[in-house]
Amino acid sequence: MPKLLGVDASIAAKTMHGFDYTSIAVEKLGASEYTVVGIVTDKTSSVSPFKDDLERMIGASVGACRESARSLNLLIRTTAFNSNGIEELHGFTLLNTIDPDAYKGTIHPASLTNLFDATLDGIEAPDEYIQGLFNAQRICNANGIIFIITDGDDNSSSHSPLDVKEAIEKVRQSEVMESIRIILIGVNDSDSYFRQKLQDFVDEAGIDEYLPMGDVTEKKLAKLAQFVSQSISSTSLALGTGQPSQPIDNFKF
Amino acid sequence: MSCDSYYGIGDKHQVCQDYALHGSIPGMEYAIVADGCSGAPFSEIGAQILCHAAKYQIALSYSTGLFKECSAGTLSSILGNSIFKRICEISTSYPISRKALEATLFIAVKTEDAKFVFGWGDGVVIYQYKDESGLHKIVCDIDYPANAPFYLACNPEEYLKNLQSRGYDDPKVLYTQYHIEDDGSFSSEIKNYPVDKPYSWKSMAPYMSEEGGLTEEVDIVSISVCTDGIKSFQDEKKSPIQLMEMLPEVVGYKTTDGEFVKKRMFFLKRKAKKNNWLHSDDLGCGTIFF
Repeated sequence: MPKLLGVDASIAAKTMHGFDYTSIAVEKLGASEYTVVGIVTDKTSSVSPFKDDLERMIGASVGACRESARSLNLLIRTTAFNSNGIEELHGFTLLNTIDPDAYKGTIHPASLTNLFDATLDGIEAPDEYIQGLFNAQRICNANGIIFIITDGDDNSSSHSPLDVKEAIEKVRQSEVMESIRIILIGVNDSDSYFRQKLQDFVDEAGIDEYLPMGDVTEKKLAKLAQFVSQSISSTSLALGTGQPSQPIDNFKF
Repeated sequence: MSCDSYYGIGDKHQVCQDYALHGSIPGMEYAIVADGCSGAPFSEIGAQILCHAAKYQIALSYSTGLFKECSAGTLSSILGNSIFKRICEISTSYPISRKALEATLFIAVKTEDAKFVFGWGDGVVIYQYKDESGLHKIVCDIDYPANAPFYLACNPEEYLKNLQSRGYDDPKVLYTQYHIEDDGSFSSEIKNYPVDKPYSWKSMAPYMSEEGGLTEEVDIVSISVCTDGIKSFQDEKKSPIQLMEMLPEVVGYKTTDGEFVKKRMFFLKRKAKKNNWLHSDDLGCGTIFF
């Protein structure tokens, strides 16, 4: 049985656009409804100076969610991207089975930024995974929240913001995912030109929220971990209400 | 082995008067459903109290060895009395009328040695068993005259007086027992019992016995206890969907781990919506899958 980051990856599949994803054995999914969490992280050369903080941030986000009353209803997949490819740090798995410390040393920065491809993968994979579980009557209901963390504008994708937009619309039109929330987090995005490029991507693709961090610091990444875990918790609590989760009000780095 | 339960509100109800729970203690699994009397105020609270009181009492009876020693009938009397006593205590401690405790109660229990079902009031018990010819079902549909179940909290004299005033001089509880083969063919048998006789069944694995209807060796796959809500689905023309047609929707589990009953009920409700079925009543179901 293949393992990624120590996580069972019994099932391997490919999305419509050819992205690979893995997941735990369906027998391990006992609950009737799940919140699917996607964390899509930049691992291009420019994240090298703060890659350890980035890994800690992901670990802290996951660690905080393990304490949630609904941790048994959380599924998570984490990917890291650069122009060499989109690497699955681990496929869809139960969040409470992940050791938060296991993210240490998983990000190996290199190459260019394929932000659009990684975003498309981050949206398409959970949609198709959940669709499959629903069709097999393994689950009855799901919602999702996807975080895309980047410090660079796209310069290496084979897909466009329009493809991302179509994927988001497809998820929203299908009856399977009750709601999905997609948040783009800009790291080291103090430069106004770069910030505008990310805002353009958000607008063109129909991404729900752009959260600019400005200059990256350890403290800000720790705050980001809080934001991610609170957003996951809010999304999970919204499951079954038919409503999307409420954004975290007045969040500032 | 796994157990799960579900309860949900009917289309035309404002509160859900059905309730269900399930769980396990070392050596025992259980699933319990209750259906509060629609005419009794706050019977949704009564149904919940009844389930939790039943859970407490079966655990207590198990820990004292009664499940090992007693027949189904004896256990049914002991449990009935102890649950009744407990809910009466609750009704005197809290500002809730005894009437609110009028609710159907069905309990399925699996111990190391045997399987049990106990029932007070109306409901449906579904046994699935398999043999070399496939998966079969025994369904016991328990009904009462004038749609007036004899609940655990009923006063027998008042109950009989009420029915007699409505023309039922010698009211009987009606057990319709269906035996459904793997290919869908079925036979049925109707039995009448005194209204105050609770439903009780015990299987010394792998045999079914007493009200379960089978005495030959069978491999029981699952036991489900359901409220009468599974009989209240209607098609677009308001014709009732027959119990036989409902069974695959209720116990045709695709998975048998985790929240398998909740999943099945979700897909049943989804099918009902798609087919424009009406479902005015609440629905409760608990299953132990072996």
